[in-house]
Amino acid sequence: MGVVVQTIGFGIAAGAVISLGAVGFTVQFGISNVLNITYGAFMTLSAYLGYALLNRGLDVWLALLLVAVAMALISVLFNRVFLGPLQRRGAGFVSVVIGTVAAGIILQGVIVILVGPGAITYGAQFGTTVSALGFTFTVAQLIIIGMTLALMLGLHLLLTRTRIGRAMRATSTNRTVARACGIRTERIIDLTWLLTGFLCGAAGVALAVTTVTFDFSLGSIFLIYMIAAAVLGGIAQPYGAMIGGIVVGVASQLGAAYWSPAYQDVVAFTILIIVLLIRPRGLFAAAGVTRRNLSAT
Amino acid sequence: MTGWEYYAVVLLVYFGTFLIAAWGLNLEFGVAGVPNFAYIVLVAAGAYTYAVLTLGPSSGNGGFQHYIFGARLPFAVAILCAAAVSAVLGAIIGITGLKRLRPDYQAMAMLVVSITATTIVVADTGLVNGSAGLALIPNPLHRMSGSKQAWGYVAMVGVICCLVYVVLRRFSSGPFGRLLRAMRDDEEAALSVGKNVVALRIAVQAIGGSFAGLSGALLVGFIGGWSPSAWLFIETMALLTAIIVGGMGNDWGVVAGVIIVPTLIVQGVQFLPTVASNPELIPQLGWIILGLLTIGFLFFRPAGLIPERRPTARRVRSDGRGAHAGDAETDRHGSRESDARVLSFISSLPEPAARLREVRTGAERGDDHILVVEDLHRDFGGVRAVDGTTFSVERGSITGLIGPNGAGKSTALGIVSGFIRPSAGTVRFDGRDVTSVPQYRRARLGLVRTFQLSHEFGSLTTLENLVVAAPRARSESTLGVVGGRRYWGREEREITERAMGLLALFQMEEKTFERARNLSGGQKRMLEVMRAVMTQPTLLLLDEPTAGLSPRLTHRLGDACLALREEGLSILLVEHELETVDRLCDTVVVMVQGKLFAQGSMADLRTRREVQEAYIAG
Amino acid sequence: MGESPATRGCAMPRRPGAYGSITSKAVKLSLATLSLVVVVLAGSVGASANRAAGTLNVAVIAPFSGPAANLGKFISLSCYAAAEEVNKAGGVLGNQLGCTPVDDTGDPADAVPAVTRALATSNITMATGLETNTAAVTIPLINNARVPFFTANGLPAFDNTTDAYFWRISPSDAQNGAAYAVWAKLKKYKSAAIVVQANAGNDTAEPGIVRALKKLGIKMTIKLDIPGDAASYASVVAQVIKTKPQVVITADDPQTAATFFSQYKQLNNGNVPPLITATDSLTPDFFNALVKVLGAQFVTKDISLVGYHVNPSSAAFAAYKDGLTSSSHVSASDVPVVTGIGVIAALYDGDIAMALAMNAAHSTSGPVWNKFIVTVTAPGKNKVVVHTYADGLAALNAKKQIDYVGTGGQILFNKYHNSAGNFSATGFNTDGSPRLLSIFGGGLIANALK
Repeated sequence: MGVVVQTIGFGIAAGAVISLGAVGFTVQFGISNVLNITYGAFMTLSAYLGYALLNRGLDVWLALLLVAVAMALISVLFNRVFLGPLQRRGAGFVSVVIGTVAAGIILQGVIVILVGPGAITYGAQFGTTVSALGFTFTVAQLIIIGMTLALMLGLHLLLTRTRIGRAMRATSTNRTVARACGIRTERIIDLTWLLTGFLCGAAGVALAVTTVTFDFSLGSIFLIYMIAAAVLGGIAQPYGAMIGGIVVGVASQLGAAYWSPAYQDVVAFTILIIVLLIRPRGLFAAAGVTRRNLSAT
Repeated sequence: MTGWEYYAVVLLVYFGTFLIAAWGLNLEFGVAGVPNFAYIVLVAAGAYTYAVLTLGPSSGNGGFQHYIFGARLPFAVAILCAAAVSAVLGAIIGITGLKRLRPDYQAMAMLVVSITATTIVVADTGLVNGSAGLALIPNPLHRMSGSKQAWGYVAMVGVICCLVYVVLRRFSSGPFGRLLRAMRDDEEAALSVGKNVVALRIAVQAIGGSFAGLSGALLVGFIGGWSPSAWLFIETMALLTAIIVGGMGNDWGVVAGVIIVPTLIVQGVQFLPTVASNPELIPQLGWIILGLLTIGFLFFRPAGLIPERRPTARRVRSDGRGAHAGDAETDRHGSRESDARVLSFISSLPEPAARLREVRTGAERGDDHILVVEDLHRDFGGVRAVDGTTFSVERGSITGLIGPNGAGKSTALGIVSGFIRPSAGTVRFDGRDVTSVPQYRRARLGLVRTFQLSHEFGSLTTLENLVVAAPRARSESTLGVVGGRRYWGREEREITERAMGLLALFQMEEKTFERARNLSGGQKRMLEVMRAVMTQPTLLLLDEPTAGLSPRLTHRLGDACLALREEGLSILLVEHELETVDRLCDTVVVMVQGKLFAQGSMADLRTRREVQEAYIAG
Repeated sequence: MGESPATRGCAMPRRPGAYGSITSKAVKLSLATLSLVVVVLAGSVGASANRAAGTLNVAVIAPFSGPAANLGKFISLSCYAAAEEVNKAGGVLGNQLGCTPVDDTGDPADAVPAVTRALATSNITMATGLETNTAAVTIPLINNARVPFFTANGLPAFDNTTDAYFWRISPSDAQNGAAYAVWAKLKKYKSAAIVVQANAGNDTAEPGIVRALKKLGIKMTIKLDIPGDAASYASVVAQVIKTKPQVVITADDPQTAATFFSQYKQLNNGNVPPLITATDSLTPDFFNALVKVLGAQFVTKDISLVGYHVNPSSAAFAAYKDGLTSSSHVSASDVPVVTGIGVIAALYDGDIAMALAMNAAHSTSGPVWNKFIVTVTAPGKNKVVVHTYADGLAALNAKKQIDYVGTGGQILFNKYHNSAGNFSATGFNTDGSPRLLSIFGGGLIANALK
């Protein structure tokens, strides 16, 4: 019993990082209607930027903040310069996904050329370990969990209580109608990319803190977990992504403990495939993803 | 054998195997619109199958590698098995498409499948030796040696490429290719004219899979080794880049793409001098160039260097020769031919007598309504779109379905045609309960709908849009693919004739060879209706067909409907324009707030105050 | 019904010859690109004759891109070191030695064109590297081209190879695996956990570890393969902790090891059992990563790295290091990277042996000097023992027979061109440099595998 609780605890800690990333990913989907595969490469970039700051002696959490801000700006630029124009040219859904994969490949290649393929290490930023109720967490994990919760709460309040949030939800649901209602959709889209870029940057550094050492493949490996979480929770649903992240994290750790560590990834993947086969809208569905819904009148 | 000679051999063998794989992926993605991001897994499956069937038992050779089978089968058998295994695997993967997800979701599911497959193969080391992979895989030409073996392999791959091309053409061109492209362009429309899209998808993935397996087997027989690092997801991207650059949906475009991308660019980059201080620079540069190419083409030339091919259906002139669009001579004969065409079309409709026979059978079952809808219910997240509707459509009549906005008319139409599942209620068509019959089957039974927003097959011409809708076409069956033009040529001509007649009937002949996506809004709506009529329906569901049509076109459409009714066709017409309803409809059903509100003739309903009020209030 | 008057007398519709125009366009385009290819290839032949006549090229066949990109860098360093030493002493028969990196990408499908291209364009005289990921396809190519090569892979496939041009002075993976167990026995541990990252080398080493542990009477508490680069291994770590091993035998890349053992420390109240890992990890990346999570004291005291033995105080090793530091292709920060890894040093020895063999045979033609590799490394009466290329060359010029003893000691090829060598356990010094702990003979390993 103790092992199960402990494993679940591990899953929650792992899940927190997944959630942090997944929420950004899923909101980007909601607002721009695209599965942004470049997200993984952006997380890698964040991890490397964080390392550069760490090397200058900054505290890791301050570095996280700065990197998140940087990624916010980079993400807006990315949408403005690449993704938006690509979509406006009438590229189909799959073509846009292919485009984001290509962008990720390019970004990863540039990172390797500039920094080399070797491993980068943050060192243990864990702090002390805390035990309670059968769970064991490090201070760093608690900070990450706390940060994720806080950002979720902030996002929730933003989306439900503020005018801008409502405008974001409207734009996410139906951009044309939102524009017709007088919402400055261009600004809203920029704002959304700022926010999700922030989350992406934070998630990248948080992931680096968790794994301690990483190389250029960091983000692309982690991407599947985030996609699994986002799809499970219901694409375009931030709260769903959060819960999805926890579920994926816990399931992976349980799988590693009771099935086999080699297969811990397979658990996440299987969740994703099953969800897609049975209920692609996810647990807390918002946007439509089946063809039927697309042509519904 | 000089180094250069052998390098040339390697390039040629790689070109051939890459081409076969690219053709397969192009068939799946470029032609049929199936985003199979797991394609490389199928190539790998072929390679592994060939390996484990040609290797001896795994305990041999010191037992240094572990794998299943080890059957030491003859090479030809192993190669064929490789193709077969990948075909089956392709079909299985195709099942993930059952849910009819949005294309990028599907793509993502495939991506995950690809990564999962790698994880499983790495984790289960007894399967095909995990990360270390398989070595000492026998070469089918191992009895030869040196130059002979090398060039012999090139010849073998070359011959197989030609064979593959012949097979490929059966699927990617002609009527079957047209069918796949229709499915790609608009799945809903394809379903609405009776195409079993799911089965088609799975079939295409099996065919594409077999190409993949063949490619993998040929490659691994040549290089002698295989491991998970050879088939990471990124390899599918390399194939996709070749197809995007060369020309999606065009078999020769793929050839160009395969020459340019993996050969010219990937190999070419390796000739750049290595920078000693940064040995990663050149290799990574290769990948970066690939990424830039992909993005560049997606932005500036998405159709690729050699865009998709030209129409398959040709107008047939009275003197028997085919004609191209804009053929001035033919236009002069235009109107005379037009009348002839109309006559020919009308006469090609199933005999009213035949239909009456069916009617009588239906009537024997106590039914002289072709459509009976009972107590339909449908919710959309708390909104009761359809709330206990019951109505019927008489045979050989034009029935109108009217009501204020939000009354649930389109939803009702969707339920009747099978595109929306009701939460309760039954639909009886021609005496038969079709409530749980899928939409494409209903279309085959004769219940065909049009859509409120035009769903045309954009890349097909107007004529092709119609021809592809013909029901039970020989060219779309397995026999048709195998038999070729000899088998379906005559029928194809007849169908083309019929389509021409329809075009004449609807007075759209000058747009015969125009690509459907270039038609005006009004023309697209006419095309919707024409295509539905091509399926030889017994009940036609028209969803606001006159929306956005000019008065002239509206009148034309009305004429056509009346003409069709004379031939025994029943029509259920959802309309807002009461003039049209007035002109065309024998009976009218009024729906308000999801319920049947009134039923009767237009004249009759006009007098009833509650109907007027419902309209004003609703 | 039947045919309408309009369709009577129709001939077959014209065949879709509209493809004619597309086909000719495609053909034209393909021809154009093919000619471009030919031009590029032809041009590069000229370009790569920038290796002036008078350069013998060593193909360094290793990954320089993809997930294993680091390996290529390491292996190329050994080649540069050897080239430096050889060229300083006057080269080989009037020729300079040059290193040509050939990126095998770690992917067998991509390796084949890369290697055949190099063979065609770069006048390859000898080769080095040919590592585990792609050896199955690259070795036949080089062997068939009659180019002698030294390989760094440990695949058991080549334990009994008949490839004439194949030479290996690093152990096979089963032996590598057994070596861990032997060392554990020497340190008198009674129980060991095996936690290895799933990759090609470990897959083939693992059976060796298991067999040897059993033979030596050490209890294997748990055996786990972990996927590399995961974000969290918490559950796996918990499992291992539960089995209370005295020592953990592990083999992973730096990021996997760091993540895994930092979580181990966290979940085990700050305690991590001693680790036995492979000398492949004697790199600054690994050292820094683990120091940051486990502390310098643990890393220097409780981590031992086992592998093919190179003697850091031998003359050969000094020459190796000298070559590294003098070479213009090696930056100062790279030097500590590879001096510790035995297998890489073995490749240096291979390069030197091949250069000496060419001198002994008075030929640069592979089929001629290939067998001289044995001649210059086998022990014998009246043979001059040499430790550097310069010494060997001088002795050969004085018409003496030589026995090149490299960084790993005496080289003894068996009939399969494998030389077993000795093993050693090494530790880290506080600055990350290697510290020899113990040497144990190949005989011990062989016994443990019986």
